[in-house]
Amino acid sequence: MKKISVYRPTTIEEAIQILSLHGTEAGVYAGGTDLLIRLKNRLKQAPSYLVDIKKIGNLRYIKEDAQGGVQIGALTKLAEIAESDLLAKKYPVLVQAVKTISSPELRNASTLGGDLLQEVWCQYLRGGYSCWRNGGYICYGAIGDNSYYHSAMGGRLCYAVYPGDAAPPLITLDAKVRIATPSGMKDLTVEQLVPGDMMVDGRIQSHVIRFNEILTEVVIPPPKTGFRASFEKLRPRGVWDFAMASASLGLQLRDGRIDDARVVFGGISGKPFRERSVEEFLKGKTLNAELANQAPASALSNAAPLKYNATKIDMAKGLLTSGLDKLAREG
Amino acid sequence: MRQASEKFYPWVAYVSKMTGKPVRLTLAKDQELAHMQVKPENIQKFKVGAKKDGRITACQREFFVNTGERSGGGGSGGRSELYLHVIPNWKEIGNDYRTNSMTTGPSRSNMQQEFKWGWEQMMDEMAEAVGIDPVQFRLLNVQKPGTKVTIESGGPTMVLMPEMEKGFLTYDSYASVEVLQEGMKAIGWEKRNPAPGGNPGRFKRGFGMAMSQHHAGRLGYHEGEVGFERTVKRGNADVYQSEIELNADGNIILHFAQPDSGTNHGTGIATQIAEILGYTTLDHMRLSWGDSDLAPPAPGWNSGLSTQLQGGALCKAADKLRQDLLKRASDTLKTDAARLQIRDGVISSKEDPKKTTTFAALAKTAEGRVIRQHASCCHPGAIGRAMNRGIGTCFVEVEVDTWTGNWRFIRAAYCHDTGNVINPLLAEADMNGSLVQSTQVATEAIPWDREFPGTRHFSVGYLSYRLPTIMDVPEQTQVFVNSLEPRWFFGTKGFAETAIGAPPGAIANAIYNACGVRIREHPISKDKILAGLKTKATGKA
Ligand SMILES: Cc1cc2nc3c(=O)[nH]c(=O)nc-3n(C[C@H](O)[C@H](O)[C@H](O)COP(=O)(O)OP(=O)(O)OC[C@H]3O[C@@H](n4cnc5c(N)ncnc54)[C@H](O)[C@@H]3O)c2cc1C
Ligand code: SF4
Repeated sequence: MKKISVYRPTTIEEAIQILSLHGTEAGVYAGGTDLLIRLKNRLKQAPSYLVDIKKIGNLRYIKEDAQGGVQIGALTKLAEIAESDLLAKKYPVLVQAVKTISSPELRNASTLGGDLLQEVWCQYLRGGYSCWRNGGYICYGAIGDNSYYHSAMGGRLCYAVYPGDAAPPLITLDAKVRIATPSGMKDLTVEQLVPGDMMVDGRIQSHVIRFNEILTEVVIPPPKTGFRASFEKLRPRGVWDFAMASASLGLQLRDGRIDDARVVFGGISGKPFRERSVEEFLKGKTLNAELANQAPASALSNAAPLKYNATKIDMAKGLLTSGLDKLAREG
Repeated sequence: MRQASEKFYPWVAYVSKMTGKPVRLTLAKDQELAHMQVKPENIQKFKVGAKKDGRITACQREFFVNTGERSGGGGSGGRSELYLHVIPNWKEIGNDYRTNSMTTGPSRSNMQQEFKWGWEQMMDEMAEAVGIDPVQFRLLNVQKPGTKVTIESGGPTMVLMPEMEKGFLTYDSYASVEVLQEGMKAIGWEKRNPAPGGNPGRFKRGFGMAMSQHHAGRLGYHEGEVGFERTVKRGNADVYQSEIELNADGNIILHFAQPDSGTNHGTGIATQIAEILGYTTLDHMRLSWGDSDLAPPAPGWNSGLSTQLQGGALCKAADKLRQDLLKRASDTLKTDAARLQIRDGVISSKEDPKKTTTFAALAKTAEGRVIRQHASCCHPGAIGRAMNRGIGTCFVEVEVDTWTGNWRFIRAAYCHDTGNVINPLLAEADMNGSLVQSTQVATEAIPWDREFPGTRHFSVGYLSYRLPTIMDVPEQTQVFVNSLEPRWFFGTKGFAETAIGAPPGAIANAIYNACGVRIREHPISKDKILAGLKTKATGKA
């Protein structure tokens, strides 16, 4: 492993100063369950200066705000989200999704901020291949074994899928994030945060956080009456694995009819894939088992599978039916 | 792994010589996969004929085996692993070829899963073709006690043996019928839907089974038997030696050279020795294993031979030690050895309990304050001495989600005939591991990159080396048919690898029974199930 230096700032301002000082050589270190693995696997792209933000006091909380929404600090552990009674009551879909992330041991260490901003898990990158995300000029995933970690919805330079399971349900909940920057705080929707496969500060990443910015908080608006949501994930094994495909649904219902819909697929594209054509298809329709069977026909018509991953599209469609079917049965 | 690790011996020896210290080499998982050996890729084609009553009359098996960078990895295409059934006419056409892929060879048993996977699916397809339940079809065709085998019909592991009569060996200790019948009971086979995919609804359950036996009966000869002398004289026998030592503290030290890499056979062997020497606990048993400086030579560690032959040599040595101690006690106590009894290190007269001595006391008066005995066993070649074989079945129930292609285990039942089981707790644990490993073999792609062969691939640790996790392993029932094997110490037959070859076929057959999708190409994966279901629904591939 290369030599690293670890800073332990106690304020966000101090952390931003250090990040600014070292530029893209530095990286925020939260739970480390993604970052430290990249370092151990000797990835060229891994930072040399780690800015451990765990000594910053006010980034780990789950609290209700005055409007009835919930704020979650970026350093909140995934395990704390999985066990939160408040979140289970207000946004059960988020708790359900987080419970399917990695394993109980890893969730004790991983943070929500880290899950949203984690690096892709393409086996070529993680194996140290010199690809676009690791200082090279080629994508092995596009031409290699792309059965699991790669996009079936096309790509630009990097074909890895966005791996996080927290972002898709947060998008269905219309959640926002708060980001500390050298020039003050800025807000983005989660959808804006992770547009996938972006060139930021000269490197490819799935999110838009710049080298000297820190994600501080996720804010979820108050739940509306008649809102129902589901999360379905298909993974190779019952624990540890990332989604081969996932489907997060959020439906605003009135008298059994769908007023508004959010449909976000995970594990199939470089970003949480919001499928607006299905959202449009669902709007105004009555939620029932028949609709669940019809919906996939309107989904993912732009699919561009690679050699080994066309099945992700069929799986995602199956999960869409499954999610709608479950919500219809709940009545 | 012995063959694959040999290439590291010079380096280990060199480093050891330079440092003057013992050296242990441990490879990281990705290096292990890249530098040790993996199962060979292969294609098998069967042409099988059966009579209307379900009896197989002829089988032609054609196979192509990628043996990697050295020949021998696929050998005979695992024929001996398959040789479980009475098939009067058998034709084999085999092709081994070398490629630049990774070294191939035994991994999680020798050629079992990779060949039985095809064979056991073929057996199910044949059963369906003749309209017989798959278990009944196997019961009809499987070898049974009384089946006569010749060198020609026995497959490549058959060798000439002293027990052969008129060119035949006859199976005598072989619970092939019982493992099928008991397995059926354990899984509740009667609940199986006879129509593949016939259960209604999105989540469909199905049952499947497969059989397995390891290449040979693991019964050998021990010194003092005629077969031992003859086999050793023949010159191609592996001789397992052991030494047993009683010291002045009253402890028994078992010296054997074979290592233990997690099999825990030491416990099984110690249990047997304790019993031979009259101990009711293992408190006085001490193991000294894995170091050829401290133990007489023995061949490599493989194929369920450790408890049988390394352990057999120790049992024989313990027997000799027992006789020796009785003789010494007889001299000390002035009592006929036949009138002495042994219990927990104390030898006493059966008639006069006051006449006693102890193991420790006898050792103290011996030269060098220790009493040693040495013994040997051998194996007659690739097959066991007589027609006993360990045999197993694996029965599974699975559930397929027909909307997503996901599948999961509901239950599994392993049923074995491995002779007398010495340590049931250990045996059950071993079989849990066996199902985990074999399931991975069945469900994971070969461990190298399909597009960039020869490169490393397993760099995301257990994220890409996908052993089933605790969440994936089903509730498992273990049935041990303790069949009679009077020729060997405690009636054991050799346990390891018996049923480990069965799960891939059993899972594939269960998935077929659940949803009507037959997966003929390894591995069993969700995408193939989904694609199969799509083809069934649309009629288009
Ligand atoms: C075996 C395994 C299985 C997994 N399975 C899943 C899964 O099923 N689903 C899933 O969603 N994830 C999965 N993960 C990923 C895991 O959830 C992430 O590694 C974890 O959430 C990252 O959080 P962390 O706090 O450890 O982040 P770190 O490793 O510390 O950081 C991750 C990245 O985010 C950046 N970062 C972290 N926090 C901030 C912040 N506040 N501001 C700016 N940048 C920040 C870091 O610089 C780094 O680049 C798995 C990981 C492993 C090892
Ligand atoms: S998919 Fe992305 S991470 Fe993987 S090899 Fe291509 S550029 Fe690298």
